Amino acid sequence: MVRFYAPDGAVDKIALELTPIRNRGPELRIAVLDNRKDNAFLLLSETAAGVAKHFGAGPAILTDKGNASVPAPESLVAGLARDIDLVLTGSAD
Amino acid sequence: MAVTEAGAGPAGYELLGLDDLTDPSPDAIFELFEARGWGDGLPLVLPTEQRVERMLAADPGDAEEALSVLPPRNGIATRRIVAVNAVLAGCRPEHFPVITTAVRALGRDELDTKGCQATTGPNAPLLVVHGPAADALGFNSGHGLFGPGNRANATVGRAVRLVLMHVGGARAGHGSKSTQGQPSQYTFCIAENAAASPWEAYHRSRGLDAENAITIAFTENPHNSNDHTSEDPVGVLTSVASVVATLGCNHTWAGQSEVFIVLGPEHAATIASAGWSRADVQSYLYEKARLSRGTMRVGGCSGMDSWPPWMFAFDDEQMLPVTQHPDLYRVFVAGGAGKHSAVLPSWGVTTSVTVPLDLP
Repeated sequence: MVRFYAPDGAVDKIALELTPIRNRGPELRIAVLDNRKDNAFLLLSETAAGVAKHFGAGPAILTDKGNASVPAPESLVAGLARDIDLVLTGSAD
Repeated sequence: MAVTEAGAGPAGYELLGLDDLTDPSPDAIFELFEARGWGDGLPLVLPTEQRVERMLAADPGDAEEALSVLPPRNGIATRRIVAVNAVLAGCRPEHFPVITTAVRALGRDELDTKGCQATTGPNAPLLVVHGPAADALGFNSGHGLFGPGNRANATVGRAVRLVLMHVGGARAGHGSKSTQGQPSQYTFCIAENAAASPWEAYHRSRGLDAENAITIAFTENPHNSNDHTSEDPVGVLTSVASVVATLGCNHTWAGQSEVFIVLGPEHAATIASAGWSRADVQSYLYEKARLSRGTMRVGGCSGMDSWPPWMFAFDDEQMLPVTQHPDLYRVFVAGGAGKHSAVLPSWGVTTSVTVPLDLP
């Protein structure tokens, strides 16, 4: 037998603890973080509107990160983590 | 042909076996890897245990050392798995230190390898070898250096690409969403032609005090600047600037983007014979490579740009630089005789790295 290696190797696994949604129902606070890719705002804002309607919640807060190819500013992310229960966004680059 | 689990190997690696062949044919290996979704579409060298050990021996160190973690798959690029891909690519063992240095550099935050891997735009990691190691290891810095024919250039660049595909998970349409890709995604490795350069070696101009070095930069394919008539720096660099000032290039929108200028030796000699330094080249291109604000409203990535506030303050007639500082023009010399140079636009929101190359 000729033995050879598969070329991909192991994956670095990072354990994530999902934050439970603090408020459900009308108190649910929703935001859209638009990643500035074409049509992202349309998709995300329509989806957010549907979620808000389902829970009877208020309209989503609309934010964006300025450019699809760079990370969102830490201050923006920190503010969303503090003030929002559910953020809809896209990964982009 | 039956592929089987081949028993225990080093922890974390999948070893496979071909149980009905003692000397696998190239055709068989090719089809096997294609069926598994591995490879770049070209024939490969089977990464047997013996070949991988021979490759590892060329750059002594812990085979399980993680050189980097490569997105978007977050694959762990150990020396061993990099050696596997170096064998696949057809590399000689003496080139392995160049590859490990490059893979380690790919993990640097400033490169934004994740963005470069996943983007819809075309880009590939240009690997440039600087210093006497380039000649000693057989890299091509002269005629046709961006093209085929030199084993070091071809296989080292290919090894880096295979690592990014297999370990990093950037396969066309999956981890990589590049709309069209580009040919340099097969391989993209050259050497600086320091002997033909009128200025100090590129890595020393970047402040690196090392005999040998490599540079990694995510760029588009080379864009030719063909100037057969100019006999002064202004003429040569006006031609280059016209290639730089492109509405459809990411460097026009990223604001802080690097632009790599690979001057052919004859163009470099024309420029230097007039007493111009590398800094003069950078300053001239910064001033000359511009587009009007009005042109920039038409298409490209208008509205998605990363410009600082001051760039929005001008009317449509204002000519704006495609990048924000002369030093963002990264200039070095490579190629053979002939009146051609190359512009390599950066992907934009990435910053190249130049690091020492230490050889055993």
